[in-house]
Amino acid sequence: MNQFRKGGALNFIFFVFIAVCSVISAIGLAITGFFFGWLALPEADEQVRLFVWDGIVAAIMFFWMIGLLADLQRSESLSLDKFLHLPVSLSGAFLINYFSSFFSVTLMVFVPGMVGLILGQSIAHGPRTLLALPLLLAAVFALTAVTYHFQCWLATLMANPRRKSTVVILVTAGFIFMAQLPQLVNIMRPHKFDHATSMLEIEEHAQLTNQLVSQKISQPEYQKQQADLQKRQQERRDATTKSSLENAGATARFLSALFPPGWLALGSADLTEGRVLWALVGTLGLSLIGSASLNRAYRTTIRLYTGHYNSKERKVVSPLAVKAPLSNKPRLLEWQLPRVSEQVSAVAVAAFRSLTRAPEAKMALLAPIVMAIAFGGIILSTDESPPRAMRPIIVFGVSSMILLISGVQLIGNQFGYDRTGFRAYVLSPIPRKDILIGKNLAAAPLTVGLGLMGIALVGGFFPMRIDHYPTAIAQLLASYLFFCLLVNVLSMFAPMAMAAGSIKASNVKFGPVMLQLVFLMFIPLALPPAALPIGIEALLEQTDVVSGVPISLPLSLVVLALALLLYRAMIRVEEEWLLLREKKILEVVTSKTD
Amino acid sequence: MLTGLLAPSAGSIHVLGHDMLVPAEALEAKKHIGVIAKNLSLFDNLTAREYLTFVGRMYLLPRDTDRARSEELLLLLGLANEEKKLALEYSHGMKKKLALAAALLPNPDLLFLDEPFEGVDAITSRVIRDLLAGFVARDSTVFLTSQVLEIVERLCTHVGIIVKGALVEQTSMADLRQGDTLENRFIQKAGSDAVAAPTISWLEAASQGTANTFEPSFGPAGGSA
Repeated sequence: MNQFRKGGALNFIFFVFIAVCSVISAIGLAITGFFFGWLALPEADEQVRLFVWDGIVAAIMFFWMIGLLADLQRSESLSLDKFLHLPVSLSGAFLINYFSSFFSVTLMVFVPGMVGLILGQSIAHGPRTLLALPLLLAAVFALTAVTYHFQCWLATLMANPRRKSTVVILVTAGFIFMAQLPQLVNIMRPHKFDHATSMLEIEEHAQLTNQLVSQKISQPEYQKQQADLQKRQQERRDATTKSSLENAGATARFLSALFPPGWLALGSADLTEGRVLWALVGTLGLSLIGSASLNRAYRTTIRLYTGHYNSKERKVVSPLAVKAPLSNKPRLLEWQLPRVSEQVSAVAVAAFRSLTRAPEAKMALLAPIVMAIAFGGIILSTDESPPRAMRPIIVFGVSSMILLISGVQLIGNQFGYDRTGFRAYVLSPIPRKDILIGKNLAAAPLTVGLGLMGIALVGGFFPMRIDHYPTAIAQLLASYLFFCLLVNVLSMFAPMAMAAGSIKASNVKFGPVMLQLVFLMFIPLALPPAALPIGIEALLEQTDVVSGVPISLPLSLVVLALALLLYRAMIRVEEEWLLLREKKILEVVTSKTD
Repeated sequence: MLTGLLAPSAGSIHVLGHDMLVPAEALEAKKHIGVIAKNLSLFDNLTAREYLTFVGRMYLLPRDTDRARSEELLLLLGLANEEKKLALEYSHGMKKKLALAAALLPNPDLLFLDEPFEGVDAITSRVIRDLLAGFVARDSTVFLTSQVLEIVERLCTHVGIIVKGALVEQTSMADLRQGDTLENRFIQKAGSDAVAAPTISWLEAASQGTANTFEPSFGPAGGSA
């Protein structure tokens, strides 16, 4: 509540709106669950009942994961030291903190729905199914206790911000990739059997029609055989459906038994069949998990507040200790980049080093990787390859999309990641265009690098004519230059403060957000000039003017040269804008981080 | 405003003979000044050595000079053994020391320090004071901003007093003090000649009510004293 109070009137209105929606959803789900469990579910197969419960558990886990991610992003967690100055014992403060975790939207929405479902099932299947209520209680206990244990563990990480950053990245990446697991369905294509069956049915009908057309069978015989065929096909479909349902049911049963959250689904579904074993085992198991988590969380809290977490003795090193002489080889921060000034090189390598260590930048780069998995899954699920003429366009589309998604986050708010470091730029005696060029060069290995990987992957799966590979690289570089010119403006006019280790902008204001949205609509304008050469080549080939001639390669090199010239000219204009805006940018990017 | 971190609403600013409101001249002036801003200007994800390398390159120091000066400053300020620590892992005192090292690295003619001793331990405080003394000894200027008048009294030769955004006094320390303490003179200049001792009525009443039984104690058990 305190967070919403600090967030201002708009945030409070949003909070009230969410709270009202949650209450309405909870009541609605409870009523729906009751009637669904009473009237609809008893008519369904045993496997379907398990799927319904598994679906509910999966939905809870999904929202729970989002909640955990939000906890990870929070720069200040709800820690016990906010209570300990009050007349309350450590265990009392621990319990207050734990019970506060029950007030989550996920629990408030889903628990009434599940209670309704269980009560509905008890009317349809008898009072024995009420054993699902203690099972549900145990599941809620386990979920909240594990969450609380996780939060305690996070609190211990606060002592070491660098380790916390690593954990933030790993957990976020883990969750994101887990959420992408359903994409495996596209890649594994379990539905391809259905496709094969359909093809067989079409072929059988065609054969029968051919026999009629070639007058091998008479019309009455055709009608009789067609009826028989339809009956056989229906039986085959029924058998296939039954077999698929049984297979899926067995898989769901196995997975539900394997993962503790599934015990709730397994126990509740089994109770409708009169089997109580999983309900009892689940209740006991989930209670034990909850107890163990809460116990560990309490012990972690005690250790944290008695200073036993950082008790590792520091290695005392004499300031006069003889250090090994530094190698004469230039270190990364001393690298001189070709064809740019000393100061541009300094900004580029320092900003690059910072980006590669910043968890928020790494998380921003997860977006194109997730996109690659999602779209890759879809592309791989199709049997047909795209036509050769389309492939350079697909490769350009993929690399540009990667560039846009990763670049908007890394360059669109390039000063936001600097936080107090931006003050060093304002104080420095370097031309402001050098800051912009250096920053653009710093992001290039990450954004252009990912774009090149996209070209290699898509170009590898769908081979193109040999000259189209260097063409794609030239197009990517030209796109990057056009893109930087646009996004530099965004970073100067709509900067946002970013807390360390978080991809959430802090102190968000309406104006910059709107400006970001408007810019996002215009940023794709950076792409058409670079796409022009392949467009011209495709047009010429379509109209049979020329065919098989590598026109797009020299044209792309010309576009790249023009992009370089435009960049050099425009960066001087942007330098003036940065000079005008630097104090305002500083005020914004350091507003929540100082 | 003098360092270019804030935009002025009106007037003119000249630092080392350069007009700070003309961008090209401001850049020229910045080549000769070092700054420790109150909220510092460090990059979270760079180590101390990396940050000093970056600063040295901003001021176009030759690589060997940059390395030698960085090494010396890090040793002197006790940061040499924190090779792998990033700035975000530093304590406030360590951050202050690193900011000082960065400000001194280009060997500026003018040093701006905003509350350099805030949150700094006694040993670091002494190191900073000695460094500043050496800096002043070679005819450079230190411009120090502080609310702690004892520090100003001990270190500064000239004083300016700003009250509610207006410069009300600018003179030498001796002229300002005239035998009195800086604190008293500051209060007089700030327009608060009669500073009444603050009282809290309920606290007064409570202390009078228990006056007969209260015995101050400074031992471990005397936390209320």
